[in-house]
This record gives sequence, structure tokens and C-alpha cells, in this order.
Amino acid sequence: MAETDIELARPADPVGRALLFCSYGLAVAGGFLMAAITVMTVASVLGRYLFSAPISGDFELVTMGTAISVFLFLPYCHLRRGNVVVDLFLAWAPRKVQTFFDGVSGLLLAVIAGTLAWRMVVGGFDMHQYNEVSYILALPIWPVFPVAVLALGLLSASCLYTAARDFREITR
Amino acid sequence: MSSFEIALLGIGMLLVLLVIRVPVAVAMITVGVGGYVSLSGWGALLNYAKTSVYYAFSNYDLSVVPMFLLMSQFASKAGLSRALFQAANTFLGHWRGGVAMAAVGGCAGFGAICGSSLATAATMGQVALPELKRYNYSGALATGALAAGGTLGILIPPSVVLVIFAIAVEANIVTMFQAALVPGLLAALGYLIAISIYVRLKPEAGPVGRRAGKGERIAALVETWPVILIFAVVIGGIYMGVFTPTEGAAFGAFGTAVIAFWRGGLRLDGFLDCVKGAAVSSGMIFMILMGADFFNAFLGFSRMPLELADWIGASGLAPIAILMLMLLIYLLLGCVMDSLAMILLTVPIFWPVIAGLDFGMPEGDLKMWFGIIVLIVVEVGLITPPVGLNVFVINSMAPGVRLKETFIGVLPFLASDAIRVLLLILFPAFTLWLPHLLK
Repeated sequence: MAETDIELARPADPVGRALLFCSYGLAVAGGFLMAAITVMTVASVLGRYLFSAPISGDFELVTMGTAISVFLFLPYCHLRRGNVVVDLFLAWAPRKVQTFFDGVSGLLLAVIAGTLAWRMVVGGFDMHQYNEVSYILALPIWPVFPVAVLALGLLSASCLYTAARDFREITR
Repeated sequence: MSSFEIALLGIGMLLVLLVIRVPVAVAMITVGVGGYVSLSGWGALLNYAKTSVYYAFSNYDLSVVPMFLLMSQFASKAGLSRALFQAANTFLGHWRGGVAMAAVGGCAGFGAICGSSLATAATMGQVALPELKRYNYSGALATGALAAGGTLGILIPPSVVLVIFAIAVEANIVTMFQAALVPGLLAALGYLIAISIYVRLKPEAGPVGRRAGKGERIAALVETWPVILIFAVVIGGIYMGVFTPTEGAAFGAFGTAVIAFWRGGLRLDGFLDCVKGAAVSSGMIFMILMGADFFNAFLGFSRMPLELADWIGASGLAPIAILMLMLLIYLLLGCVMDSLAMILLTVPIFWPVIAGLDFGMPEGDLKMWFGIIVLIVVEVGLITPPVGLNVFVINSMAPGVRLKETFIGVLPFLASDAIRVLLLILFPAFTLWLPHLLK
């Protein structure tokens, strides 16, 4: 599989730096959450076999924790150009053509992520209103939504930024 | 326009978007959204989008993916690749082409604790390439063996791609992992045979290495104990039902992290690098999953996959011919596309077709048999031109070897892949034996 991992040149402008800084912060937070879930799972399994005392609802914590951390990964992934593209047909096209379509994709993703953020605001309120909770621990589901909205909002902003940069590069 | 035609139009537009370099995930969401709206309207879509992504991401089976990616990151920093290569080298090195065989053996060992092909190729490449050069191996054989050996990272469980396939066809991840083991070992064996035939034809390409004594062999094998222990705990535990794949992955990530801190000299900044690496790969995979969620919702609404399956089922074409056609499509797509994206894109259409045909086995077996064959065929894309990622990675690590040489060096391994795929198609027992035994 393609772990396309091309280092983004450190943006010179303050907007780009701020976006990268925030995305990086979210990604690292998500990573530590992921590590915490890992340790919790190990502890729960050991507890189950050694002391017949698993962490109750570990399954739910893993599921919700993974969802949160994955949302937190998304903006950083975009800024690091981690998204998979089919790089063949345009590989021989002039650089400007490639950059133009990168800009178009950025705009598309900005619209998608923005719309999703808006819908998940509504979804979060629904979850809160209907008092949706997990089965075992009765944890409320809605707190995942503000995190997702924050991450999707930042993803949308990052996409606008990279799209603007791509279009500026063409006109230069 | 019928919904079948809308679905076909959607697939056509998806291909256009992919050609103009729109990321796979974005293209799938765009087409999925467009199709969804044209079939059931904006209201339904906006309602769907309120919670669909949350539900797509909060799936217990999927949580195994970031954990395996974390495990792969730690494994590549744990300093285990050298021990694996040395151990394989003491056993195989004195044969003709033996050092290249040791590189493949090391890849197989590393693949047992790493679910990613690129990470396996790159990590083993760092250790094995200088050794292969020291023994005057030809650039083609050295880089070809490592690029192909890297694919063992995905063929031998744990495997992230296999997890995604299992989720896409609603198969049990445990039995999928069981099914992958024998074909994975067969792959390693096939690569060793490919090397021995190659050096018989071109003896100067792979000179004989040093013969190691018995004591040295045992000492080298003992050095690899962390790999053996982690594989035994993680895969053994998953196979025997001691814990779920997610719990196994948690143990794997934890264990490799401990080894990386203790033996690999991992410190806080290295730990952050691992976390970042896992974050970027997980983000990439879950973006595609988000795309697949919208795209599949659209396909499901259109009923196109079912109608296609009915139509093909009624056409009277031989099931094996249809399977071959699908594998050909995978080979072509694999030339330009990432394996995971390819699986998420095609399986919702291909699987109902396969499930509707009579291959003379129950559906559970069919999922394993088809899954393992698809896994191998999509992995071939990593070592074929024009965008064989493993080839690029290994080639960039071997200064003085031209890209063309590496692609030529990969050819014997491609031949071995082709033979193996045929064997697995003709003899489903290779795949099904272990899952049936452990049932």
C-alpha cells in the first residue's frame, strides 16, 4: 500500500504555518489517544486472563477512541499530501496542468469537508437531543461530534489554503 | 435514465476524476454524493451525512487498522531487521544466490510482525542492500529480491489490506488471517526458488556467501527472539481465539514499542515520528473508507452490483473465466492504483458477482479463497511498472542501480507470483486447510 509521505516544505506564510501547527497538534493528540487505547486494551486483556477483571466496556472505548483519533489525523494527512492519487495519466503533463488539477481537488475536498462539518454539527445536536449512549458504559455519543467538526473544519480550511497556493503557483 | 445506467455513468465519472489526479477518496465521495442525490434527493443525502461518517469510523473491526500501522512503525524502529537478515543469512548464505535468499527470508520474518509492504521493503533494504553489494550481487537481483520480498509484508499476516478486504465482504478477520498464512509461506518459498533458478542461469549475479557454523546459526536464530515472541503472541493469540484481532494488534503495537525503546534506541522524538507516520497512513486509509462509504451507499441504492451479478450469473459464462477477467482488471488497475483503494472500489461490485457463481464451495470458504487471490494480485501492482512503489523505494536506496535494472530484477519474482496464483486457484486447499484445521 502507498504510504505516500512527501514532506511538505515548511510554509513561509503565517496562515500556512498556523494551519500546519494546528493540524500537527491534532494529529499528535490523536496519536497519543491511539497509544492510550492500545495500552488500555493490553491492560484489559491482561486483567481478563490474569485477574478475571477486564476493563468493562473496553470495546466501546476502543471504538469511540479510534473514531476520535482518526478524525484528528485527517487535516495533517492532507497537509502532508498523504492522500492517494492515481499518478499516471498526468505524470507527463506540464507541471502547471498537474498543479491546476491539484487545486481543483483541493477545492472539492474543501467543499466536502465543510459540508460534512456542517452536517455533523446537526448530527451532534441530534445525538445530544435523543440522548444516544453506548450500550455498556452508557457513555454519551455526542462528544465525538464536536471533535469531528473541529477536525473537518480544519481539514476544509487546509484544503482551501493548499488550493489557493496551487492556483497562485499557476498564475505566477 | 434507469438506476443501473446512473451507476454506470457514476463509475465512468469516477474514472475521469481519477485520471485528472483527484485523490481516490475525494473522487469516491464526489461521485457517491452525486449518485446518491440523483437517486434519492438532497434531503436524504443531508440526513445521511449527519452520522454516516461517525458510524463508518466507529467500527470495532476497523480499530485494528491504526493499531497495526502503529505496530509497523515501531517494528521498523526496533532494530530487528538486522537480526532477521543475519539469521536467514547463516542458514542460506552459503548457497548460490544465498544472500539474496537471506534478504527474502528476512522480509518474510519482518512481514510476520509488520502489516505493510513498503515498510517491510524499506526496513529490510537498509540492512540487506549494503550486504548484497559487499558480496558483489548484481543490482538487478539485489533490488528485485527486496522489492518483491517487501510484498511479503502484506501477504504474511498481519496484513492491513486483508483486514480491509474482510470488512468489505463482511468476512471474519480471524479466519482471513488463518487463510493467509500458508499462501504467505508459499510466496516466500516461491521467491527462494525464483532466486535459485535465476542464479543458475546467471551465476555471476548471485555469488556464494560465507558458510556459517552450527553454533553461529543457533546464536543468530536466538537473536531474533523478539520477532518470534511477538508473532507467536499476536498471530497465535488471534488464531486460537485468545483475543480479538484488535486486542492482538494492541499487544503487537505495545510489544514492538517496548522492543523499540529497549533495543532500537527509540526516544521521544522517534516515538513522535512513529505516531506521525501512523497518523498519516491511518488518515489516508480512513479518508478512502469515508469515500467508500458514500460510494457504496450510492451503489447499493442503484442495485447495480446485484443486477450485474444476476446478469453475469445468467449469461452462462464459466465462473473461472469471470474470475480470470476480474484478476486481469486488478492487474491493470494495479499498474496505476494503490491496493487498498483498488479493493474498496472494486469489491462491492465484484464480490456479489463471485458470490453468485458456483465455485463448488460454501460462501465462507469462497471469501477466503477469493480474498487471498485478490490480495496477491493487487500486491503485484507494487512491483510492476509504471508506478511500482516498492520498486521505487528500493531503487532510491540503491545508488548506482538504474530503475530499469530493478524492474528487470523483479521479473523472476513476477513469474513466481503468476505460478502461485494459478496454484491457489487450482488448489483451494492451500488457502482453506489451516482455517478448517483450526475451526
